[in-house]
Amino acid sequence: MRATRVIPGRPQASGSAVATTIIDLVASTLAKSPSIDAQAARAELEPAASLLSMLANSGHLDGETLVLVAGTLRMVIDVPAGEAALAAQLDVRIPTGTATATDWTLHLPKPGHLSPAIEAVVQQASHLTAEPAPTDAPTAAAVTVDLRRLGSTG
Amino acid sequence: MSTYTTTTTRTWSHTTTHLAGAVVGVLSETLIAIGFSWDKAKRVNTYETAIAAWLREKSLARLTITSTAPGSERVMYTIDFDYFEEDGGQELRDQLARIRRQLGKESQVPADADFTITATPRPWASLSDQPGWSTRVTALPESGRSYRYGTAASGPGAAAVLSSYRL
Repeated sequence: MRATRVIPGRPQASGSAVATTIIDLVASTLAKSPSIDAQAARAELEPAASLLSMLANSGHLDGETLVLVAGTLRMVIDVPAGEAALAAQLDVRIPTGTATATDWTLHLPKPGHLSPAIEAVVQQASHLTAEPAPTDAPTAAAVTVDLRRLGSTG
Repeated sequence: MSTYTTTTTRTWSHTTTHLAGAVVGVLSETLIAIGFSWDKAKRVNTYETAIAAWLREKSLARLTITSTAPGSERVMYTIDFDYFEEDGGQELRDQLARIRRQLGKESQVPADADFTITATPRPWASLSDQPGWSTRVTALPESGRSYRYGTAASGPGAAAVLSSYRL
């Protein structure tokens, strides 16, 4: 399942406010899964708040650069800045697609000159990565059903 | 056929949030690009609230970023704030991408270097107290020649201009 959520940045919100909203959205989305500890996810994301704040203020989260992948969900978190933010509406509805998730990954952008900062944060968090997100939404695990056996049960 | 139009009004509050965010964004990026570690550069993000507050009260004239390598302090960058008549029709702009492209010209700082940011008020104003900021008791060093990177961000009523003293 693909989803896009929008968190308008400056001038609608400060970088730190955007970072807090991103962390709330990701933790609330992961809380839909009984297999993921959402509090642990939040604790892992909070040290990255400064980096998310900077990326939002610098315009690096504008578009499809920040992506949460969990279960069958691929969620883009778009943070427009400037005039685009002024025209945008906050959309932080909790998407579906994480009910069966057992793991998660938050993909961050990695602009070349910011690589040292991104790597410093990613190395401290096992679920954050600077690798590009898969372009397709994950699919549910395939289940093989033998139709002949299914027909003979009874 | 009906014609519909929409008008977006940009307020002074929009301008101050926009400028404060863009300024801490461009400063963080610049400091990382010239070799400051993330552990040092990230504290710039904590200044966003104070900068926005000083812009709201129209008291902030300049931010001066100095390098504080052991034994010396040198001016690296300044951000000057210009205030003008508000026009709600003026768009909120930034030139962070353009500034970013020029950062490659800057030399790297020594590994043990650190930096200080000093806020200077406009001549007739004083800066309100803000958490995390204290009064500077020593004079700023002479700044020398500067290279004007350009307007980092602008909006109705104000603009922020970044200059480098390292080129």
